[in-house]
Amino acid sequence: MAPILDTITIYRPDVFDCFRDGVKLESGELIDAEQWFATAVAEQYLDIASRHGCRIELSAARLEEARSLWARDTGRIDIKTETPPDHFKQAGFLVYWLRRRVVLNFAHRGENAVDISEQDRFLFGSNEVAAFLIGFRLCLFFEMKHFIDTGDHIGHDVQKYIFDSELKFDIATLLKHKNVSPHSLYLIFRALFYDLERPPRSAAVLAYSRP
Amino acid sequence: MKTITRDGKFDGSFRDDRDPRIEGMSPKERLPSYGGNNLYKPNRALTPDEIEAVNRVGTVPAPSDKKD
Repeated sequence: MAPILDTITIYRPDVFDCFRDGVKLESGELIDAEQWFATAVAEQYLDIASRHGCRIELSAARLEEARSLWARDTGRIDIKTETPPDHFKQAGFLVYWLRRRVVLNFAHRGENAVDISEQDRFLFGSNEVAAFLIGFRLCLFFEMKHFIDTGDHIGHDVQKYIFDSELKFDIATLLKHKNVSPHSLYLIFRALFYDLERPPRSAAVLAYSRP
Repeated sequence: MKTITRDGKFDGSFRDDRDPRIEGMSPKERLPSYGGNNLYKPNRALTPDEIEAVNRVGTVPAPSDKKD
């Protein structure tokens, strides 16, 4: 059995188990799922906001509601085998509930030297863009982890992709104003990482990690 | 006292904002769908500006179609 990592981050293979059940540290201390999720996901929200030169405030209550609804939905998926939902499906449901519970109370301009138009694009749909990017990062990590050594810290590589302004506008607009279902998000993420020339499937994924 | 995040690391970025306007809604009403993802008016119609924004999606050239 692999040793339990004490690091709270979305970049670990058992992240969805941690979201659902929490973690028992090697010291024996238990971190419950609510706190583990809040810590790991808040770190991502803050990183995304920072990369857009913005500051945010999160809702503790709605973040926990999003986690609970995600856990409920992914826990009742009717599957005939023991195979759990894959990372695309888990991420699809997570993005859906994060954006639907509107976990960002507000976002506003920070003092970072970031292009104002970039800030505007983020502020236009910060809740939607941030939720989508978290799902994207999770999927990218799971696709990358097959090609890297266990224990590598790849968070920085994953987190540098924040999309261009036009794609962010589309994400913000459609997630905000149209009904994009968890299964639609699953298809988006799955198609995004589908390798047209497989095998080897690694080509498209490695292009992300070795620009 | 239990912190929101581990050791209170990110607690400064949180507010426990149980809003009476939202708490008074039924669980279904609390879930925004159309209309700006708005917690307070989850089922309002889109405004003309919002409709225009939706219609604009997919009508601008993708980066791969642009000339250098």
